[in-house]
Amino acid sequence: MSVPHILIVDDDTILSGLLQLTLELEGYDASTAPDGDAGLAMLRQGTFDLVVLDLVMPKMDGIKFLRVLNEGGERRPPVIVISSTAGNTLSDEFRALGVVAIARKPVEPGWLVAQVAAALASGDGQTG
Amino acid sequence: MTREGVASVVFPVLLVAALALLQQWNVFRDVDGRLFDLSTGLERGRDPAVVVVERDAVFESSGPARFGKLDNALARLGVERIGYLDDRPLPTSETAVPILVGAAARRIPGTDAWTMILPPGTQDSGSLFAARILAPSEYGIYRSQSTVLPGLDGSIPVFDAALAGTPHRDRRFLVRMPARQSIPVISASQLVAGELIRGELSRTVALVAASDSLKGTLSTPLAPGTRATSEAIFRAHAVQDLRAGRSASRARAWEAWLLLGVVGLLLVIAFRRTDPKRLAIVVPVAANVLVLGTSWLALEFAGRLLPVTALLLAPWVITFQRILARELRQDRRLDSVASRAVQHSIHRSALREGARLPEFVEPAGRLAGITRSVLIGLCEDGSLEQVSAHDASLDDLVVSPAKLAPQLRKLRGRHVGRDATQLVPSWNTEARITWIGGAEQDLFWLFAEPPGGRTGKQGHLVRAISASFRELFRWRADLNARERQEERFMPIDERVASAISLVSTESDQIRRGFDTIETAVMVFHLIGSPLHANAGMEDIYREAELAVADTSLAELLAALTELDPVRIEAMLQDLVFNGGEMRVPMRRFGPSQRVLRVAAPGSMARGADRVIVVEAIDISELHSAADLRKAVAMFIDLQLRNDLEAILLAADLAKDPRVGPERIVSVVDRIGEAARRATGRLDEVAGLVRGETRDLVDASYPVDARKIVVEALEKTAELAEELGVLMDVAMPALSGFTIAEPRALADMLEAMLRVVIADTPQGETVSLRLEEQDARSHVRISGGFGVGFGRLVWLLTKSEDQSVGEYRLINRGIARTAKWGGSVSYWGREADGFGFNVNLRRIG
Repeated sequence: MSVPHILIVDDDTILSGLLQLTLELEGYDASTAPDGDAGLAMLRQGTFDLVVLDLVMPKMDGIKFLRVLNEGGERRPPVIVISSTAGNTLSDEFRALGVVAIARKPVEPGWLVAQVAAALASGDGQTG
Repeated sequence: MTREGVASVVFPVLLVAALALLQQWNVFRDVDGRLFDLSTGLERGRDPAVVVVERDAVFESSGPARFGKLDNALARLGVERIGYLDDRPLPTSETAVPILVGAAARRIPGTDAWTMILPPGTQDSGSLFAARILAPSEYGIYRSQSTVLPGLDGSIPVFDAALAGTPHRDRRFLVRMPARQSIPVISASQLVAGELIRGELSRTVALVAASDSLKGTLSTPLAPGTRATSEAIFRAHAVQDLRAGRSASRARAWEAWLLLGVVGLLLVIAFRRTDPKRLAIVVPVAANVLVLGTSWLALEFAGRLLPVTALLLAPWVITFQRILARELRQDRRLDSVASRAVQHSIHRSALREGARLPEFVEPAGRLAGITRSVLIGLCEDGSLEQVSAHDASLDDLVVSPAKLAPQLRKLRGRHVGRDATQLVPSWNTEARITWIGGAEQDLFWLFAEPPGGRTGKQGHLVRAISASFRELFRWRADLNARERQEERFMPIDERVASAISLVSTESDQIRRGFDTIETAVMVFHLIGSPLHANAGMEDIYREAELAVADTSLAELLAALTELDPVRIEAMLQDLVFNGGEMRVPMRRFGPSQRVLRVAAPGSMARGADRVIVVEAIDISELHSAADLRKAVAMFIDLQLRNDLEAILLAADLAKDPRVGPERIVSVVDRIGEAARRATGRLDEVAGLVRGETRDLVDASYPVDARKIVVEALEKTAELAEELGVLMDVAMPALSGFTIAEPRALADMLEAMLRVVIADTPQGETVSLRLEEQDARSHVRISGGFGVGFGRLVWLLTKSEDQSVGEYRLINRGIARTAKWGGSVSYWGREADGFGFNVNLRRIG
């Protein structure tokens, strides 16, 4: 079985680097993208099993990223949203966009790892 | 009738009475006489009613029967009466015409009665003799004559009246002597020789005079300055007047009183409701013309010489009195008003207590940068007194008071001081001494020159302070003059000028102070009429297109607030009756948000003091402060969460044994990076948090650009809908932190949208884009038909005060954007649309 590949989309390079390291320590393969545009490009180029997404980003914000991702019509990976602006409750709107978990920063690393594991296990990715 | 009303009648009456008395005492007799001469001298001549017969030498030598021959000759020529001015033998027989002989007369001592002095041995036959007397001259000029003299047994006829043969109503009459009146003079020898034809002298009387009586001995109106008129000619004019019925007489005393009384009354009435000063020339001149006309008519047709001089003087005297009374009244009022104004004006000022003024000198000097000074009082005995001092004393002077006093006296009244460095060498700096006025004693200010010397900024300030004190002392002295006995009669003008100067200066200072108040203030009179607006309120009036002078309080409230007229009236009524204050939200004019505070003094205030003050308080800054707090809090919350997240995550990783040494360095580095970033952000917001309130106008802070763009969009949606313009909007669903002042940015974006929407044809689209890059946020607005770029530049580069409407807001916004580290660019071309690009700094 191949190692799950996770894409971290966040304009905060310090945080995304640390998240990448955290996930890699858990045995995942993690990549980072600095904004929505770059994230979509990477999704088109490779195969990702999960996306960890920040909402507020330049060029393309997280919401638009989710919408474009859902407009693709292809199978899309599940998304975990971590954001300073988001609440902790997963709304229907987010659920419809493929978000499986949402958390307000700062996120406890153990919680994130657990959520990643759960999302990968449930295989929540959908085809749009 | 008021006291003033009574005085306006009484004083003219007294003046008229005085003139009438002077008239009665013959003070004006000479002037009246000269006016009479002037008037009658220009009259036309009339047919001679008298001929003068000269007893020439030939006649006198023709023997004793010559008088009988002359009588007969005159009778044959048709004369009605013959008057011999000089003596002649009495006729021995009855003559054909009555004969009259002049005889000297004298006053009987101790009585008013006269008696004729007849030739010795003769007796008055009853018809022969008449008194040959002349009425006294009037200041040397003979112009009047008597008709009869009082005698012991009745009246004694005077020669002229007896010769004329006509009765006269008065004892004294004035002799008209027209220059053109012909008085024929014929020699007696001619008549006796029968050179004239029979009846040639009919309807005349003959005045026979000796040659001596025809020599010029009298000064008369015919030749006023010289003794050129003979007695015979003067009498002939008198006879001519009497016989022609042209004799005149002076108005009687009661007539003069009556006439002057009437003139006085008419003038009182004329000045009752008019300003005597304005009519100071018109009324007297008109009255004089009327008097002259009436006098001429009276003289011409009634033979009455009116008291012309008194009548001519009366209008001028009464006018002068009325003006004087008015001026005195005015002065009293001015004095009272000026005193009130001044007392009111100086109520709270140092001037109220003049003695305290010197106390203000030292503090004022210190403010101007003077490090050492002494205020010296010069006593009357020449001694010097230290009134106050700052880091110095009178002992610093190296000159004795006795030597210095004369030098100080020379400075008194001068506005320029003199160098005083030599007076205080211990100060080791340039010094100056100047006179600054004084109350009980003259005050001289000795001070060390401030840095920069006399010509520096502080030097100017020191001179201004000195001048102010001189002026204050002078005001005080002038205003106090009314309280000092010796200066009670100082001209009111000077006191009023001082008062006006003080009040206007203070009013000007208050006005200037008023203008510096940050809030806009308008003061209304109790009745709602505008009194004064400061500069801030004038701006609001301009923005609301109201006229400061014409807008009533109710109209102002209706224009500036949402209140309806009924509520406005109720509110004002409550304020007027009870005083207090009310606050009403104000409609929005320009970028500021304001509330109107309408306040009135307590109901116990005196009516005259009641004013209503309207103050527009700008609450934008309060909102700005609230926005700032909120934005900063939000920024800290959101951004620090990222940093904390990173730090927490890194700390967990550092503890994790799975992180090998090769990675632990990187993790620790990132903890440092996150901590530094958090510190930087805190530093950035700390400046804003510590900033002064007044900086809020230009302050910028992290704001949600999307929210601001949406707000501008919502405000212009109605306009777009009205004009059928479509909006093409693109913006992120979530926005980061952009540096700006939200209200100014929102106003500018709204104005830009309005400009472009208004220029866009119906059915076409206006584009609005918000794009956020790593470090910049861009707002792009484009569309419309477009205007030439030059025109657009012209509209947007005029000074803020000159630009109008939306362009003014854009102009203001462009200026402020630069202060936030942003920029605005724009472009335009006709038929190609135009657009605005707002480029702002983005920090997260």
